[in-house]
Amino acid sequence: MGLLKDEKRVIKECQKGNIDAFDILVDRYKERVYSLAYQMIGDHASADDVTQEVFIRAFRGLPKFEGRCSFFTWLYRITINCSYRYLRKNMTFLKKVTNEIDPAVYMDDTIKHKITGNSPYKSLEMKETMDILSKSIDNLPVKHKTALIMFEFQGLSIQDISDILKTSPGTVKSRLHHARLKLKNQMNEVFNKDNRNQLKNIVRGR
Amino acid sequence: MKCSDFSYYISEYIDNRLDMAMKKKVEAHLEICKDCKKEYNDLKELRALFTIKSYERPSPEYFENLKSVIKRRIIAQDVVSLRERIIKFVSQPSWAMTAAMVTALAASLSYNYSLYVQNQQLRSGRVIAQTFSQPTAQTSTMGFAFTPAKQSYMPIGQNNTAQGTLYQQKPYLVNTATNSAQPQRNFILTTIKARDVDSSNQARIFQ
Repeated sequence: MGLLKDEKRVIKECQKGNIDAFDILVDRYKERVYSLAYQMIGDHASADDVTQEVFIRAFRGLPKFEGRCSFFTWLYRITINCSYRYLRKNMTFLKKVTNEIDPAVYMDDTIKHKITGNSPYKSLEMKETMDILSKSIDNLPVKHKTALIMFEFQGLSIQDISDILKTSPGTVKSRLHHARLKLKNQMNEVFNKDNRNQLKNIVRGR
Repeated sequence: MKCSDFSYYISEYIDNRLDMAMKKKVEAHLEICKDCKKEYNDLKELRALFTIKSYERPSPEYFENLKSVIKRRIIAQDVVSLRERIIKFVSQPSWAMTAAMVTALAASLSYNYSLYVQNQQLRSGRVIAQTFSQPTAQTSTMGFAFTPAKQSYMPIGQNNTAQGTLYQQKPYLVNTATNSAQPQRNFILTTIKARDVDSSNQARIFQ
């Protein structure tokens, strides 16, 4: 609770135009904003741009922020909108770029060890699976993708997501369900046929 | 309920969002229906993959200069917007521009008028002082003010014109009212070149 009160004070300070106070907010939310942007766009450099854009927009828009929703809901909404705009603008460019798997994603070694049990073969297999998963997520319709990413990877509740997207919780749930079904079908296609070409097609973004 | 109806609830079941009654129904259906059981297993597997993927983090070195970049961009935007505002203000006719020009004009006019009034007071004061000390002096209101002043800076002119050197110095600030008891006023005097009658050298006269 102390953190929230502190945040309100920091936001008030920023609303007066204090850039130094804004640093605190950037520090607190940069990772979440960045990872959301990265998962939405699927490219490291673009996520960079979008993250900067989000925070600058947030700083500019802060005077209009009335505190009717929580700050992070508001910030996530900006992130989603910026990502949408970026995706719309650079659709063709991104299709080319995301052919290469981005190496900038980083996983903690202890977690990696826990998952793959220190076996190089298994870790390679895991990496391949993760790549296919990323590509399949990229192929989802944007709305489904958004709901899925925010629920599964950002760990937001259905209520939070519906606040951010300004829809009803029911809509979020159904989008989530459809996203999962589509993803499951795509993954099944790849693994059941065990066809290298098919896999390559998916990985290369078709 | 058909299998297609259950599909949505299986998803909900995995997320543990169902109430007890619905949960029981889904569990019962999963016992009977092989297809739905398979879907359930697939979704569960997918969920496990998601969990693994959610541990992926952007590499930490990226965040090192994020703050400074954001700050720099905000400041740069401020500078640009300020510049644009100034350019817009200057280049486009607007009410603000008109108001600013009218204000400037009014200010300069009133300043000039105050100078004029002071000057008038100075002259009339001089006249009185002069008439008191030299009642016989031929004075006209126009030519008078400079008569004592010329005398006061004659020595400077003489010193400077030695050996015919041409002096190109900056305009002097010469106090012209030292002789009188009037409040002092400074005039900026510019130099002009003229021929000295006696030495036929270049001499400086203040005007």
